Amino acid sequence: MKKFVFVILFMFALVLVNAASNANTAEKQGSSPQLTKVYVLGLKYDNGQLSKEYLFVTETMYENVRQAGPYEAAVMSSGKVRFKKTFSISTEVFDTEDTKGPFYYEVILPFYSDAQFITIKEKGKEKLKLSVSHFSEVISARGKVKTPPAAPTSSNPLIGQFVYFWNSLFKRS
Amino acid sequence: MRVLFFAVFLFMLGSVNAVFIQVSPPAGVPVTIFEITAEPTDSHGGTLSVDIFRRQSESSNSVFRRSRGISKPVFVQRINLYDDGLKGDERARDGKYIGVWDSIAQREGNYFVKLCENNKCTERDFVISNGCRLVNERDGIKKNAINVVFTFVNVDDRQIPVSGVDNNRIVLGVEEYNEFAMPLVDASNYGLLSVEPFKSTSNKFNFFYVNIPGHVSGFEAGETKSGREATQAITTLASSCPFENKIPIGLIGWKFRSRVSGGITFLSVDDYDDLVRLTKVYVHESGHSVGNIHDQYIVGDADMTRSNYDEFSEKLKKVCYYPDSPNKYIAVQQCLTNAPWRDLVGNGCGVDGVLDCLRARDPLFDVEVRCYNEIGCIAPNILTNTANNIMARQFEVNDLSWGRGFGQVNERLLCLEIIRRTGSVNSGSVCNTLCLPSCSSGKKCIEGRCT
Repeated sequence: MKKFVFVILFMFALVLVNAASNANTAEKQGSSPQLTKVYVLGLKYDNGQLSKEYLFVTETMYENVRQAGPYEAAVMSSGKVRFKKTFSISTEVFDTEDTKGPFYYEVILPFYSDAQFITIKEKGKEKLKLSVSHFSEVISARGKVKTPPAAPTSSNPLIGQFVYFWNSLFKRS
Repeated sequence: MRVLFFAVFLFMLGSVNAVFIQVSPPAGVPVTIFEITAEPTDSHGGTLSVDIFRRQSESSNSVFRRSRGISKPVFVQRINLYDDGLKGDERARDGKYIGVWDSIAQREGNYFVKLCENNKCTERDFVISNGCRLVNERDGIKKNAINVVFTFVNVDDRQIPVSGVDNNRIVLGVEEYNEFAMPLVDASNYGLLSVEPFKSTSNKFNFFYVNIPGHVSGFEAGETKSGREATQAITTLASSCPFENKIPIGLIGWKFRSRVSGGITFLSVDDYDDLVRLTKVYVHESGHSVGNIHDQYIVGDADMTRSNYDEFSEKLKKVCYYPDSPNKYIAVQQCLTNAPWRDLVGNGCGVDGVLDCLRARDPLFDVEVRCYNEIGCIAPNILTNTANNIMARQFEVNDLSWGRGFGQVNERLLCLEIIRRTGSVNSGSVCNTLCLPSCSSGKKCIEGRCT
C-alpha cells in the first residue's frame, strides 16, 4: 500500500515539475509576436479628395498604433463597427516648395471574417466606403480546399519556410 | 451584312485594350491576397478575365532574375475582375476592374498577370516572396518601433562605390540593395544610428529594404507628373512591408534636390558617388521625417517680416526666433529670454547653462545651444538655435560634433516624436537628459534636470 501511495505521489510530483517547466517555457516564449491577418489599405489624398490606392490582405506583426487625427478608419460588419482607429495624413513638405502632393497614407486594420466594409471618415463625415467581403469569400474558400497548415512543420515546405522566415525576423531583440 | 457584323464584332473586341494593370502589393508572402486592377481604354462593365502565370526560374536563388525566354511561363490560374460596383469595385461601369487572387500555397517566384484582348496583351509582374527584408537581419524586428523602409526606383545597373572600399564599384542590382542601404543607417560612420538621439534610441527603429526594383518614366522633384509616379511607386513598394508607424524612403536614380513630402523621403542616388554626402543628406531628411523639424538654412536673401513669420508653421517657431528689434544685441537678449529653447541655452558644449565655448577652441562650439544672429534661419534676420547643426548645413558639421550634430533643440523635438510614436525611450537614452518637454519659465535644464 505504501509503495502504491509512493508511486502515486512520485508521479504527481513529476507532473507538477513538468507543468512548471512548461509554464516557464511558455513564459519565455510568450512575448514572441504573433502574426495577424490584416487589411492593408493605401489611401491617396489629392487636392482635397481622398481615394483608395490599393487594398490587400496579408499577415504581419500587427501593433495597433494609437494616433490622433481627423480621419477614422472602421471595419464594419452588419452595420456594426468591429474595429476603428483614428489617424492623420501628413501633407507637410520640407526642402521643397512643391506642396501639391498627392500624399499617401497606409492604414493597417485587423481582418474580420464577417467584415463587409471598411469606411473612412474625415471629421465624422464618410469619405470612402470599400467593400471587403470578397476577401472574406477567398479566406473562407481556403477552408473548403485542402490547404497545408501554416506551421514550420507543415507538409508544404514553402509555407513552413515562410513561417520560419517571419518567426526568425520576429525574434526578440 | 455578315461582313459588317463581323467587322463591328472585331471593333468591339479591339476596343477593350488594357493599358493599365496594377498588382498590389508588388511583392507578397505566400498568404497574401493580391488585388489586381485593370483599366482598359474602353470598358464594357461586367467582368474581365485575366490569367496568372509563373515565370520559370533557373534556380531557387533567382527569384528576382528574369528568366523570360529561357523557358515557357507556367499558367497558374484564370481569375475574373469586376466593374460591377460589388466585390471590391467602388463604382459600376467606371472602367476600373478589380479582382483578388489568393496566393496561399503558391510557390515563391516571379509571377505576372496577363490581360489579352484581340491579340493585344498587357502584362504586369509581381513577386511571391518576402520582398521586405531587414537591413540588418541579426537585429530581428523590434516591437513598438518606427519602421523605416528603403525602396529603390530607377537605380537599375547603376555603378555605385562599395562601402569603405575606394575605387571599387559594383553594378547595382537587387542583390546589392542591402549593401546600398547599410551605410545610411551605419552606427560606426555617419549613418543615422551614429547621431543622437537615434544612436541611443536605436531599439526604437526597424530598418527594412524592399528587394523589388521600382521604375518610373522619370523623376524631377517639383515636376507634377513624374513626382506623382515616383510617389506612387515608393508607396506601393513600401506596402511590401505592412507595418504601422512606417517611414518610406525612395532612393531614386535621378538628379534632384532630396526632400521630404507627405512623410515620404525622396533621396537622389546621384549623390551616392560620395557615400558620406548622401548619408548626411539622409540624416538631415530624417530630422524632417521623424521629428517634423523645420529647415534651418537660408532660403531667400530678403528679410522676413513679422507677418510672414507668423504665417509660417508652428514648426518654424520651435527652432527659429523672430526678433522684434533690428538691433542685433537686443534681438539676442529677447531670444535668450523668450525662445522656446531658452532653458537649453549654453548646453551642448562645456558646462550646461553657460555659453562658454569658442569656435577656435571647442569642436562642439557649433552645436552649443544659443541665440545666433550671424547666419539666419530661413531668412537672414531670423535667429538660429545653434551656430550650425544638421538641420541647417549638414555638410559643414564637423566630425567631432557629428554625434550630437542635431543640437539639443532638435534632439529634443526628435525625442518627443520618437516617444509619441513608440510610447517610450529606454533609460539610457539621451532623451532623458533633455528635460522633456521643456522646463517651466525661469528654470534651466542642467545635467538633465530643470533647476
